[in-house]
Amino acid sequence: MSNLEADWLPKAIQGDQDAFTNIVETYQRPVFNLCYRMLGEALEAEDAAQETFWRAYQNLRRYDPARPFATWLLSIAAHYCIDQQRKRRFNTISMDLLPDEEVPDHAPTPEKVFNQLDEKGQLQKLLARLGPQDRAAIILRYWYEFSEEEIARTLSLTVSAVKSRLFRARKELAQSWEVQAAQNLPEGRKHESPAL
Amino acid sequence: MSHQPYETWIVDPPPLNSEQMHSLEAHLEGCAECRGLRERWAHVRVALERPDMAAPRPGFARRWQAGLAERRLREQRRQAWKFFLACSSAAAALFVFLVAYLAVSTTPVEWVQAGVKAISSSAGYLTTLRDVSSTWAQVVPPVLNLAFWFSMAVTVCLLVFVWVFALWRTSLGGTIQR
Repeated sequence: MSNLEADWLPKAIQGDQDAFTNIVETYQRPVFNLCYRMLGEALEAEDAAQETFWRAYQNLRRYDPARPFATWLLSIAAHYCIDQQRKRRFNTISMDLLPDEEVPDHAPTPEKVFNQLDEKGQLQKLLARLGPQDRAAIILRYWYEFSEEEIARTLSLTVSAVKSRLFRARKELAQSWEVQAAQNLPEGRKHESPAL
Repeated sequence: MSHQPYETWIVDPPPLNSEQMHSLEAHLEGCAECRGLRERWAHVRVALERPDMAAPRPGFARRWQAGLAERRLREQRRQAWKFFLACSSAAAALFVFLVAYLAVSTTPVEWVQAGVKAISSSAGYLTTLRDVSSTWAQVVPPVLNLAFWFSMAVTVCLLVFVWVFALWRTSLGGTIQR
């Protein structure tokens, strides 16, 4: 058990606001990152992260100490972001808000692709193509290294549902990469098969 | 052509035995779609396996503390409104129930009779009260009289203060900062 769960959490449950502020300081980054990856916008992510901590603060007495606190907190964030996505009524973020892509130099190696994806917000674009729950599953799997069981608990799904969502999401990501790669190609090469 | 279980083996490879490996390789040789999937997934996987963590703007915890006071105030207002609406709804429901009950169990003539009776008896009570007060003022010494009225005034002031304080606690200004 970490210091947080041993020291601050019981105090926070007793109503100690400073103890809860320590919890906020500790978890601000993972919670914000989840919200940002889910919503794709820093301002919205900030609001969502603040809302997550407020909900956690309100429901702290319902927290089950048998469960890791981080999982519980990220579960609140994930559910909130999924609800927000559903309220938007569409699953992709506005492409206008993301930075423009640049034409890559030559055939991209995975290393180059990683740099391009990460630095230019392309990874975010790929994620934006996924449905809210698929996106949440991918984020929890790769950013937080959650197991399928942990993802299932966090998203209130069955393990088999998580497996099928992860499979679908990975396939969708690979196909989306194809689309983006085609968009990045020079005009004359856009209609060539990526397998060639 | 069926792409299963090869698609699964490509994007989420379980530990494959040699027979499965041969089967996958054989399928890939004849299936451009799965070859493409494997190639594209290799690129995406590299990006996913080295993700960076986005961080909020500095001062997140400070903004949280500032927001907390505001949210509590909002929550308290909402609770006060809920309480007010619940009381109003209960009173309205009780009123409707009483009106319906009276409409069923009595006649309008009886209502008028009861009203007249209530007014006449109230007048009688007021007359009696006036008589008792004047007798009290004549019999009791003035000092005691003054003390009685003073204590009555203090009691009324206290009750008003308690009422105003209760209203303040359940409305805008009553947020208690821990």
